[in-house]
Amino acid sequence: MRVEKIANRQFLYITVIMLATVVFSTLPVLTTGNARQDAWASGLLAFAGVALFVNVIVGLGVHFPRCSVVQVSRKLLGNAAGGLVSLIILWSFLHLASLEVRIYAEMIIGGFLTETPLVFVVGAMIMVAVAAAYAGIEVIGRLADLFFPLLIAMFLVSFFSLLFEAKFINLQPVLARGLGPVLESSYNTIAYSSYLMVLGMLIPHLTRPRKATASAFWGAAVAAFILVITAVLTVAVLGPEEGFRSVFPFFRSLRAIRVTEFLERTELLVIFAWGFSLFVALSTFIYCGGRGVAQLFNLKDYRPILLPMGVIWVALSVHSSPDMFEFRGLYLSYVFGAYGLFLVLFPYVFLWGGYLFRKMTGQNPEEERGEEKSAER
Amino acid sequence: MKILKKIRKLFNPGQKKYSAQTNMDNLDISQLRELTKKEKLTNNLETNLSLIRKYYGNSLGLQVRSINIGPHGIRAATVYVDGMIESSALEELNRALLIDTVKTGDIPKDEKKLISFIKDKIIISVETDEVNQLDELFDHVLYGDTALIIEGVATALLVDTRGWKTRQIVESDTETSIRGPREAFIESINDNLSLLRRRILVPQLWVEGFRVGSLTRTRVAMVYIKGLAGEGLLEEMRNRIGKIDADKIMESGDVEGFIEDSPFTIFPLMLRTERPDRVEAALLEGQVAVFTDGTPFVLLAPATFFSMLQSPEDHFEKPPIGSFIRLLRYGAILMSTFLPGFYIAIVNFHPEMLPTPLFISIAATREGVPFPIIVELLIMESVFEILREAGVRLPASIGPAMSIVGALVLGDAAISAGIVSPPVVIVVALTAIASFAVPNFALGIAGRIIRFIFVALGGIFGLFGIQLGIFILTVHLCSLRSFGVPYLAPAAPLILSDMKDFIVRTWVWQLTTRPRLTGFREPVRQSRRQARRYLKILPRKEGDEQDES
Repeated sequence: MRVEKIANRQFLYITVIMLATVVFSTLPVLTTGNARQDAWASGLLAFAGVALFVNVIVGLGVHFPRCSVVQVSRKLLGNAAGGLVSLIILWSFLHLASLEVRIYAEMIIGGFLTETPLVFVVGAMIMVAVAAAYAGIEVIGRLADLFFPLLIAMFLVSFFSLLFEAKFINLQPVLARGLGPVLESSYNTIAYSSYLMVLGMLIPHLTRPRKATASAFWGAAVAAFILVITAVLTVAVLGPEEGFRSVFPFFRSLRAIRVTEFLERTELLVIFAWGFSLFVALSTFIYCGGRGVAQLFNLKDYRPILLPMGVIWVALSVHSSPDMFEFRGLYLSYVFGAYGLFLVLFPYVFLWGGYLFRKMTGQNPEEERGEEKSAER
Repeated sequence: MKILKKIRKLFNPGQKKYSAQTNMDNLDISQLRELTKKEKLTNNLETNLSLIRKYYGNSLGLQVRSINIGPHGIRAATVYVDGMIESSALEELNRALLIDTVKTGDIPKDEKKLISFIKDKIIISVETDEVNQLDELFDHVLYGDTALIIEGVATALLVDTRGWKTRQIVESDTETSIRGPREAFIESINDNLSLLRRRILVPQLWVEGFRVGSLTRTRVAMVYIKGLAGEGLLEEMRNRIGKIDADKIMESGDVEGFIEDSPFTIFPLMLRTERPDRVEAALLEGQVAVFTDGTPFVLLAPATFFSMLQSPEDHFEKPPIGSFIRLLRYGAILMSTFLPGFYIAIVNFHPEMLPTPLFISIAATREGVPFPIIVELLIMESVFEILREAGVRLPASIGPAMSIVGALVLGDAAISAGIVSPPVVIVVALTAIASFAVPNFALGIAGRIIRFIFVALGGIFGLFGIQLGIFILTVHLCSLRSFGVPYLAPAAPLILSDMKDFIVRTWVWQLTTRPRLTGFREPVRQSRRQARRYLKILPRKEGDEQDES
């Protein structure tokens, strides 16, 4: 079967979109959680951490340009151990995507469709994403191409309109409580790089897999830029205390915009953009999950298992917590920080260990470059 | 049983006499076609003529004229169909055969030489051909050629005497433009090809002919510029046209149905046009055109979504004007697809998005309207669609009556009777106007159908439903391909070099490259150097010289 290909540009867009959805939904509250007015500083620090993890996740995949992370782990650690390690990665796709869609659904239900059952919103989003995953990664790449400019445009519009409301005095005093809280909140933000584990599944589909690290790095940089600006503007508009307390601080700050009588509730536009990027992120998660499971169990095609997986996804998302407030407990820094870091570090410590062990014992684990070139032709 | 048969024969003695006739009567059309394909011409003139008579039957039109060729009086016959030929050409042919052969004197006795002698030295007609199969002979004779069958020769000589009435070349009704060529294709494939050939004067404009349809034997031509269109595309097109197994090809829609990539979509995957300049522009970008005899609509492939929103005159106007018009058109298709859905979603679910005075006035007009807003919208949209369809069928003289009924009775009276609210009528009217601004009719129709789905989604789930609809729609559009080219190119996948002629278009001297997915064989379409004349302010770039060499 022909391997579906996406351009490195689309890979970059997917990276940005993955991280940007997090920004939309929760990040300001996470970073302001402890850093308060110094959220921007922890955002910058987080970027350094995310860049490191990009190198960990994508850097390994670059050595195996035709294998996904599931195949790589079986290659490096053997069938049994490799399978177990990749199960953790696949679980992360499942869980993180279900968390994402849950946040979105809570937002929609809380703000707009107050009487709609949760399972409908979650189910609709996931089924639509299943449809996209069914169409393949090329289609998801094109979706990213389509929605990325939209996303950037929405960001720009909201940033510029927020500028008029911003009171930058809110950002002072800078680093008043020392570096401790800043480090603590950036630790939580870095844990979000567990979202980037899907990139390990996408590398074999790239047109230039050897350059994947650069693409992913620039993607992370753009996302970090968005994150920092969002954090600054949110704090500047709402003030650190309000930003800490509100559920969706970015939307809360957007609600403050009123351009004459005519333009009110502009946050709806951003919710639309969030929905678009969430859709791309979800379909990537589901595609990678389906692909991974299919590779783990040596299935010929991943498509038949997408629908059953979608149903599990919906169930997990709906039943993971009874309400929004308990749900937000998961995002406390000592819960999610540890959990997210575990999801990335546990498999990748083993994978890198296996890789270095093989390298040192003289078995060349890498694929031949020549082989790859001939395959491309 | 045998006895029964004998008794039957006793009472019906004439049966045996007409056995040849009954034989034909019992054969079905496919068997007849099979038989025709097997038959070959023989040496005997009489047998050949009776063979033709046998298959053509007693039907009118077939004319056989016996003649004697040359001083020795070799027996021969011309066969043609009345009404398909030009009589002056036939007279010319007869004169050549009857008089010139006698004058020449030294006609070769040998049959093989005779036919080539006649072909090379006697007949002055433009196009001649030799066939020895009966079905080939019919293919030509029924298309207006005259067959010359000579005693003792097993091949027939076909002479082009085609001539029939065709429509005048007039302006297109469906693709009008303010500026640009006015002529449009007509129903005759030869005239259509000549319209195109007049525009591209290089021998590399290649035309490949096909006969499609087992009964209609319609002529289908695949036209491309050799060396510019991708060979893979050409091979695919050849294959797909060659595999068509149909009894009839009445219109290019029939061809399109057989060769398009995915049948399960309401979006047109091939662009239809009746403008030669449109075809010309497409060919110069490496696309392939499919001409079908009997229809003015020519198919262009591969087609993309955005190419359907373009009109040739975008390129004839100045760039800012062309870009502005094009932007309007993009807005129009978005509006015609989404406006009613958004209206219903916002009024029903998210009134807080509207400015308060506007919402109050909308709510005030809805006072006393008995239906929910979704029913109101669906009623008015359906009424509009019916009006539009009726307008197409109406004779021109009843048109004004129709508009009175539509505008006054349905619009005004429905509002004053309190059945629908005025904003709904405004929304429906806006979408109607917007949908007519889409230059491609098929795409406009697709947008109109999707509009109903979005009304339902917006009416039931609000903006969230609209968003879901957009997701499904984009996934569908992104997964479509037209002859290997992604349907949403150059937006998804993003191709930066094609952005020069996408949402806005730049000056003609800046359009230096062809679209990458179709014109990849010769990406540079014109020199970049001339652009510098217009951009004297800008500094020279180092790389420019190398690009041109």
